[in-house]
Amino acid sequence: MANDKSFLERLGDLDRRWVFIIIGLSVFIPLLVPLGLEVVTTPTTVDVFNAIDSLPAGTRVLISFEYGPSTQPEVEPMGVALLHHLFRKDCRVIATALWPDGQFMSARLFELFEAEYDLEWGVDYVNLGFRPGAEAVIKGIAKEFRANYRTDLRGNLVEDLPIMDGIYKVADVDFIFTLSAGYPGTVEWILYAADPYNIPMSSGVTAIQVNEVIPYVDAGQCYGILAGMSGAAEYETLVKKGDATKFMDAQSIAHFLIVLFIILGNISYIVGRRRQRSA
Amino acid sequence: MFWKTQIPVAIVFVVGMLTLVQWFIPHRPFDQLQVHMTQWFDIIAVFAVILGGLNLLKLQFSKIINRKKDWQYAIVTLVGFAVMFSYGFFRIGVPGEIVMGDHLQAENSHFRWMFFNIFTPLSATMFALLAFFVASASYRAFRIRNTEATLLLVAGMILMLGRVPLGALLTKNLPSFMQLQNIQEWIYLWPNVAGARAIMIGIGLGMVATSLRFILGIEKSFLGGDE
Repeated sequence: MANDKSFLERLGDLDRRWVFIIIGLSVFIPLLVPLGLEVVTTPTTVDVFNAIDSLPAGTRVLISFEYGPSTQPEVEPMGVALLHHLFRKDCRVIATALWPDGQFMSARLFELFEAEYDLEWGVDYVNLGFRPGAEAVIKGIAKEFRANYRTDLRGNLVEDLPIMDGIYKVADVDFIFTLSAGYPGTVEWILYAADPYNIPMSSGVTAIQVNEVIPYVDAGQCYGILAGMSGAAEYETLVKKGDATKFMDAQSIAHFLIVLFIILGNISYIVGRRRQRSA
Repeated sequence: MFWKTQIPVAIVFVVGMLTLVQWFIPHRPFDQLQVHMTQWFDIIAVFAVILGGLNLLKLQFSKIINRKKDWQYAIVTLVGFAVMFSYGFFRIGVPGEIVMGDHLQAENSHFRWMFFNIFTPLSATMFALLAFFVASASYRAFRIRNTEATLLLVAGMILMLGRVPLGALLTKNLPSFMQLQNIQEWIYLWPNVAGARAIMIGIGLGMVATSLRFILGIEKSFLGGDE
């Protein structure tokens, strides 16, 4: 029976290991030999850039790190480009995390910037670390920041930190940016902090989260959005700093091949169905 | 019955009503309720970690004792749990005098080394495997069986190509409205937002209804058992 099948039909029975090999090579080769494809910026990314670019020096930006090692390759490039943008403009950064992994991600990221921008802990930036409780933490700091964060990650009292002068509730920060890979994340920050207290906010999220967040972007509750690695690459193009752009070649080829697989799989399916009907 | 049902239901009613009321009365003492209650929640959430840990131990030990399928992996899980727990909780392998909490992040601490050199690559590997399964599934399962499936598939393909530089390159000589990056942006901002909003409103209404059922004691599934 199998031998009666045409070439196009047999294409649908291709061993999955061939698919794995092709996808593996499609990612691996462009990483070794970059194609240098031009990254085209989308309006939602430009909105994020403009929002950050309009912040005056000294602005205190709260960045919440809601991602872990599994989503690090997708979200961290956004964080790198964002911190370059902020520190270049002499903005100050207060980091929090609603994911336990988030504080490791943020700590590692700040280490990359400390020397380059001559940053001082507690003055130019501070890492407050992780607090359990998801949106309850956001609701808590919305009323009493220091009741939820008494100390920073190094054990210093928050009230002794110059960067925290005058910050008693979340509305006292000038801007919120979330680096988010799921729940709790961007949506919770919009619902419980940015929107009720009119705090300007923007976000970088994993591609799969965009559907969930884009209605808030469309409604103006979030200034733009960095959507997945492509968003990171676009932002890097605008900031002119970062590494995500080189990964876009690999992602381009992989996406193209997956689309090709879908088309070939469907051609095989249609040919097979026609033959069955005519038989 | 009184202790197992009526008291918990009464607690849920009182706490639920107070939480609800504080949204509508932004004055003392109601405005302070949120501060206190969110702190209570934070404290209770910490205890959930203990419950989670105990549950993990119970499940994995039972898997090993009963020699269930792939029980050997349970040993790896337990060893991983014990090692990370010990190094984190008992400050093993922490250089110098570093305060509790900060020792997890200290540059030469063993916990940090394990997090970044074992946990991080393992997590990233697991996530990266998705690319292979998605590719394989796209080849075998994404079929244009009807109009809805065809629409979904076409939209998906446009998004996949429109989000990457190659999509822009392939269509850069076409009129603007036919360029993939512009079509994908339109799909994101119009049909997608419409659908997402409809789902969000539905979820919101469902949450209101479910919350009311809990507060009013109609829904008692949180009590466990057959209540």
